[in-house]
Amino acid sequence: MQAVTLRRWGWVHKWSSLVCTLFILMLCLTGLPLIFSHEIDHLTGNEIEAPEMPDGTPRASVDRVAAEAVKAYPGLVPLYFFAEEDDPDVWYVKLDTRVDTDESGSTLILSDARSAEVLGAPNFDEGFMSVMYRLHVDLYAGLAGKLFLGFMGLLLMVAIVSGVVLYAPFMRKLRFGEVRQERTTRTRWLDLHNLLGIVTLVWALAVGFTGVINTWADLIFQAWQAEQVAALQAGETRVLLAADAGDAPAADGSLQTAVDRVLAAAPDMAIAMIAYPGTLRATPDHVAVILRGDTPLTSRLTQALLVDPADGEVLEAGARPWYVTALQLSEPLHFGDYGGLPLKILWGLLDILTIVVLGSGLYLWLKRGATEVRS
Amino acid sequence: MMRIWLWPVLIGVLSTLGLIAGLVSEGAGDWLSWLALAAPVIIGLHGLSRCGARHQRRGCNVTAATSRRAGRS
Repeated sequence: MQAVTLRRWGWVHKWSSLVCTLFILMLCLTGLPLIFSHEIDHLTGNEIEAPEMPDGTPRASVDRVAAEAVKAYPGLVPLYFFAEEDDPDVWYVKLDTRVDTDESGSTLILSDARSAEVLGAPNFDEGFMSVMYRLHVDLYAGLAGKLFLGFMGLLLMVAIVSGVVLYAPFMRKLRFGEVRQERTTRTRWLDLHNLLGIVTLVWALAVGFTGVINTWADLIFQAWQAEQVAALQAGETRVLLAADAGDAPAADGSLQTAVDRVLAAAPDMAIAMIAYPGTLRATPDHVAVILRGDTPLTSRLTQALLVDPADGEVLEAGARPWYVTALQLSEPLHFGDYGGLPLKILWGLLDILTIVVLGSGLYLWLKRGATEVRS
Repeated sequence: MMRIWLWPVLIGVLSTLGLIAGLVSEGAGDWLSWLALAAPVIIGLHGLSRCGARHQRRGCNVTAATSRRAGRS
């Protein structure tokens, strides 16, 4: 590589790294406990669990779950029901003062899917894990904080790519993994920076880039909602279950019947989420039911169906756009939560190696005056 | 060129395989992803523990033997 090209890449690597390093270090440090948040909540007893009931205990209707939630939290209305794949006895219910708020002040509670009783509200607003979460996600600054961190993530992508370009000239006279011991401490850390940088490359690119995509989640859902509403208004919808279809329970205005009709229209799918009309994930007049498949991949790629609770017509307003697919695949690839505890431990170790890469990069910059031969 | 990039490319391919395997299949896919992603972790931690220690006398190469072989090709 020509000296001038090399110098330019060096400049790109230096400045893209310098601007984002402290923020990425913070993201790596706060992300470490977040990888294990499920385990930490379980160990500290912060996890809310549904009481044991005999297998096959019938489930309460979602309307009753909603009514109990509103009774326990007067003045709030339900926005969403979420179902966890591995915890079918529990509904997570999101409540807020109106259906069309920005949801920043919303309340998330857990309800028993069988008795409809409110089990409690996870304490997201205080404690160590909450501080880690907010620092990691939005720096306590809402959408602006998310987008800022996303921009830092993009700079990290530039730093990684320019680092790879610089790897070859630095390694010209070295074997893979060689760390020169006889030279200065700076040389040793330079060699380690190169080694750890190149082994964590793909993981750091994947987690970094999916993290950037996750910062756009709000915008992506807004775009999807706008697209669905536009498709509805233009009449570009596919009717999966007509209002007068006889092989499903007749619509009676209740949420449960609407959901049952969606399940009748989409067999072999399970409910991931139910969104009330007017919320970010639904349209003004339809309930949106987000369904997931039953394989590891399709359980991530959800399908959204719309149902009119009044007449029971089930619609699909266009196929899932590519940017929603990208977002849905980005979540597991960022969290590392799709391969049990061993994968989480690997995620944690790769995170620690990345911290060493960042730290050594910072050290190399601080000691930049030192010449190679001064030992 | 080959000498410089052989190991990085191998580790990159293994990492990619590990990231995807667990996502598309349960059971066997999980095992594949653990094994494949263990490669960068082991090489990285090994390099760190062998070479990060100060004032080490002997030279340290994470994969000295294998990369010498790669160097000949």
